[in-house]
Amino acid sequence: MSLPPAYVHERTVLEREIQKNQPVDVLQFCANHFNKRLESQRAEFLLSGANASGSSASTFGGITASGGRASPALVPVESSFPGFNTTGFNSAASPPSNEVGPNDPIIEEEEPDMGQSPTASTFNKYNLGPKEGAASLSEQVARISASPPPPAASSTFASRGRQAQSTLSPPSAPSSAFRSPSPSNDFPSNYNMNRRTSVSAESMVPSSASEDWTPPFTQKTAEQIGRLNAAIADNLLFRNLDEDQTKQVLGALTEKTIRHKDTRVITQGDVGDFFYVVEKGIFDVYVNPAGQMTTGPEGLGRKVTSIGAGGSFGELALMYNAPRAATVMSTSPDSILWSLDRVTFRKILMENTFKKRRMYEAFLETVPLLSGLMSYERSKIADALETRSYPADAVIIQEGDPGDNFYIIETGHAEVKKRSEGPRVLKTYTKGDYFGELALLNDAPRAASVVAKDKVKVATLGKEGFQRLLGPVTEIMRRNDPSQQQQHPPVDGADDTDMGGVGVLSENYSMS
Amino acid sequence: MTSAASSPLPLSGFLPVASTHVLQSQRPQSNKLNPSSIPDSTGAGYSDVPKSAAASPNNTPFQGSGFLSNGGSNQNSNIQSPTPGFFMSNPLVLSPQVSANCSAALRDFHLSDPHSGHNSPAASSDTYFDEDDMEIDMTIEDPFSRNKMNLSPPSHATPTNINEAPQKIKTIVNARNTAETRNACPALHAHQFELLRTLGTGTFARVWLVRPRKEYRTSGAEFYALKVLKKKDVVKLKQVEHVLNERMLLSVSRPQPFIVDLYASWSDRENLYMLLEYSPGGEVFTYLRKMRRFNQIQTQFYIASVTLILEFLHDRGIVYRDLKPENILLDARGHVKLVDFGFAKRIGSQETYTLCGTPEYLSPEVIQSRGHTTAVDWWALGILTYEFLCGFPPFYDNSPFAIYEKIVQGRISFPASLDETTRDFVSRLCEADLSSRLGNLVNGARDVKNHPFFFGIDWKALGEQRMDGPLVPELSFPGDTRYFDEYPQPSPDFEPYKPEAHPQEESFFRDF
Repeated sequence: MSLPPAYVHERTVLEREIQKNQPVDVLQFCANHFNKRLESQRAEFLLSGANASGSSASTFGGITASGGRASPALVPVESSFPGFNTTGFNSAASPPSNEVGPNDPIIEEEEPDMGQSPTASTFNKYNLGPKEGAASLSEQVARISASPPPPAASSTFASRGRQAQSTLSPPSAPSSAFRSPSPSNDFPSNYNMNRRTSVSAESMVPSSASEDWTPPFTQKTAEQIGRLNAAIADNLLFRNLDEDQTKQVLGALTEKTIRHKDTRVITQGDVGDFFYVVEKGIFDVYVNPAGQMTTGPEGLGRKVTSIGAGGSFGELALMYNAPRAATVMSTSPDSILWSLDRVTFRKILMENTFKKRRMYEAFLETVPLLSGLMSYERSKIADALETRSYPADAVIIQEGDPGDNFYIIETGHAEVKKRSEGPRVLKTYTKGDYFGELALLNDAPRAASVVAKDKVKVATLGKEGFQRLLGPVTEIMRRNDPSQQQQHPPVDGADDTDMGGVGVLSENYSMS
Repeated sequence: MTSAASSPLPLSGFLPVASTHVLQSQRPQSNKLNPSSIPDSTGAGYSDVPKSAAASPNNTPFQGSGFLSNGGSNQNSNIQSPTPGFFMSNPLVLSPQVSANCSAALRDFHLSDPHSGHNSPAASSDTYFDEDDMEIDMTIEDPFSRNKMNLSPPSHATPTNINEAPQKIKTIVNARNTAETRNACPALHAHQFELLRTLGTGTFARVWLVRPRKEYRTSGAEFYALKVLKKKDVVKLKQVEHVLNERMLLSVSRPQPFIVDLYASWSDRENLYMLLEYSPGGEVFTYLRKMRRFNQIQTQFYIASVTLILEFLHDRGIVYRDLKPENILLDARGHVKLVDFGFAKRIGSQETYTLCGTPEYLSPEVIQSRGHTTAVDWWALGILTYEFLCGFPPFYDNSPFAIYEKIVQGRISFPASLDETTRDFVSRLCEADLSSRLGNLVNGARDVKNHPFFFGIDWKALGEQRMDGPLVPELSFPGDTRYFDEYPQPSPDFEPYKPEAHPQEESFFRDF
C-alpha cells in the first residue's frame, strides 16, 4: 500500500528544506517547518473563505432564461459547500492541509467557484484538526509577518509602520521554490486573465428642448402589459426604472411574429441590437463553445436551455453592441416575441433621466436656503438625490422627530399637518415643492408632519450626504451674504420660521 | 526561438556567484526591471534551482549596456541613474528561481518578427536601431500600401510641401509642441513612417511603433507610437464622437507627465492618425498578469499616480471612463502613462449618458443608465486597487451580465491578505451612493489623497517624477519593445472606405 500523496509531498518538501539548510537541531527545524506550513495554509484558507461568498446566480452570456426551463447545469447554485462556514472561520477555522510551499508566507486565493473548480475537492480537507485550533488568528498573523518576507516584497516597509500588513500583502514574486504543482490553485480558474475589451454604446446626447423626442409606441392590452412587466421586473436593467420609464419601455416593445419553426431569432457571434420577451411559443437556446455559430451539422452547438412565455433573452444588447452569446431558435410555427432595440431603450432612459435631472436642478434653484449654490454644486446634489416612494397616508415627516433629510416632491401630493392644529391641512405640497430643508441647517425637531395624500414620490438627500458633497450649509449661505457671516443660523424668511422647520413652498414649479 | 543562445540576457542564475557580483557593481541601477525578471507565474519549473543562484541576493541579469555601445548614436539613453530615496530600497528584488526561468519569460517578451530571421531582442535592435542608414526589412503587411498607391494628399492637405525637401518629423513635432496641437497637421503623412511592429490593438484601431523614414528623421533613435484608426470601422461602430473626443482631450491634456503626449494628428482617405509619445515600458497589465499581484508599495505608487491623473482631468471637467491596467503604460523610468482617451469626455459638471468602459470596471450608475459623472473614475480606481493587490477584479464572472449583477449588488469580498486600510480605501471608492463615494465629495481628489492608504507617499515628489517607479524597465534603446506583447498581423481588409458615402462623418474627420 502506498503512502498518501499529500504526505509524500510534505515529506519531499521537508527533505529538500533539510538539504538546503543543513540544520543542526533537526527536530526543532522540522517543528518550525511544519508550523510555517500551517501558517501559510491557514492564511490561504482564510483567503478562500473571504472569496467564497462571491458567486451568485448568473445568467450565461447575456441570456436570461427567466421564464424558461433552465437547464440545471447552467444555473449556478448559491455558493455553499460542505464544512465551510464563511462567518465562523475567525476562531474555529482549521489550517488546511493541501500542498503549498513550506517557507511560503504568501497568501494565495482559493478558487471561489465551487461548480467547475478542479480544486473543489481540496476543500474537503479543511477539517479541523484537533491540534491546530490553538493559535489565534492574530498570533498566526504575527508569526507570518515575523517570518522572512519574500525577497520581492521586502524592505521599504519598516519605516512606514505597516510591516505586519505589508508582508501579508501579495508579493511581487513567487518566492518559494516549492510551489504547489497546480497553478490554478491560486487564482480563480474561471477568471479570464486576458486583456479586456472596452465596450461602448452609441454616443448619445439628450435631445434639446426644441426637438421633442417621443418613443415608439405599440398598443397593448392591460393583460399583456402586466405580463411584460412581470417578465422584465427582476432584470437589473429594468428594476430601477421609474414609472414613466417603465411605461415608455413597455410601450416601446414591438410585437414580432416568428412564422416558422426553426427560425433563428438571434445567432451566436452576430451583433446584437435587440432584447426579446417571449409572448408565445418556446425557443431553444444553443451555445457553440467556439463562441459563434459555425457551419455544419454541429454548428449550433449544444442546446443549453429553452425559454417559454414570459421568458426573455438578449438583454446585453440593451447595453452595448456585443456579439451574441448564444443562438436562439423557434420550436413551433407562429411564435410571438416582443422586441426592444438598444437605441430606443437607452434613449428612453436618457431622456427621462435628463429631464429629471434638470427638474431637480430647477427645484433646487427655488430653495432660498440653497440659492448660494453654484450650478455645479446643484448638479452634484441632483446627482446624489435618492428617490423614495410613499403610499397614500404614509408619514413622510413626523412632527417632533429629529430632522435629517430634505425632500422634493416628484409626483403626488402631500399634506402638512400639526398636532396643535388638529386634522386641519395647513398646506398641500405638489410636484416641485420642497420641505424639510431646514434639517440641513440644524437638528431642530420637525415642527409639523408631512403625510402623503396619494401615492407620493420624493427625491431626498440627508444632511450628512449634503455636507459630504458640499460642506456645511452655513458656509454656503455665508457666501451669499457676507453680512451674515457672524449670524448663526441664518433665517431665510418669516414663512419658514412659521412652518417651524418644515420649510415652505416658495413658488410652484411646473414641468413642461 | 532559440532561447538562451540568442538571448542577450545571460542567465545569471547559472553564473558563479562571484561574477554576478562583479556585474552588479558595474551596473548600479539595481532596480531596473528586466523583462526576464518579471516572474512567470505559471509556476512550472520553479524547483531545483542551483544553490549558487539562491545565494545571489539581487541577480538582475546584466544586459543592455553592450547594446547601447553598439548604438553609439543614441543620445536619448533611457538608462537612468538610480534615484534613491523615494522608495527606501529596492522594491523589486528578484527571486533566484525567476531568473533561472529567464528563458521561459523571454519567450514572452522578446521582440520577434515571424517573417524575419531575427528573433532575439538583440537581433531586432540591430535591425532597426543602431545603423541610421539601415532600413528595416518590412516584410509584414504594410497597411498603408493602399495609401501609397494613391499618393494624392488628403483633401484638406496643402499640396505645396510635396516637392520640397523633406521636413524632419521632429521639427514638425517640436514646432507643434510649443504651438497649437488642436488642429490637424497637414505636413504629416503615413508614408513618412516605417511601421516597426504593433504595440496594441483595439476594435477599430491599431497602435504601431514607428520611426520616421530615413529622409524624415533626425536620428535613428527617434521613435513614436502611431495610433491608426480605420475610418470605416469608426463610422460603422458609431464611434466618431469618441474618436474626436480622444484627439481633442489628448491635445488639451498636455503637458501632463502622466498622460501620453499627443504630438500631432492627421488623416487620409482611409485612416485617422495620432502620433503619440512612445512609452517603452509597456502595459501595467502585462506586469500585473506576469507577477499575478503587485505588492503594497507598487500598488500605492501606481494608484497614487492614477489619482494625480484623475485629479488633473477632473479639475478640467474631463471624465476618463476607461481605467484599467491595460490602459496604463510605463515609461522608461517606470512612471505611469495613461493612454487611450477614446472614452474620455469633457463634461464639466454635467452628467453624461453614453454607456462605455470595460465590464469589470463599470460603476452601478453606468450599468443602470442613471447618468454618470467624473465619479465613475473613482469607482474604477477602487476596482483597479483591488485588482492590483489581488490579481483579479472584485466583480467578475464568465458572462458580462452576471458581472453587472454583482456590481449592482455591490458586495466586495476581500482576501484576508488585504489590510483594513486598503479595504476601507476600496470600499469607499467602490461605493454606490454618490454622496459617500470618495473623490466625489466636497474635497474631491484631496479626500482620496489624504486616505491612509497612501501613507508615506510624497505627493509632490511623485507629481514631479523625482524618483523612479517601483518597476523600472530594462531597455537597451529607445525603440525597445520587449515589454509589449505580440499581436497578430492585421487581417487584410478588402473593403475600402468610401468617404463619399459618409459626408457628415467626413466633415468631422476633416479637423482631425
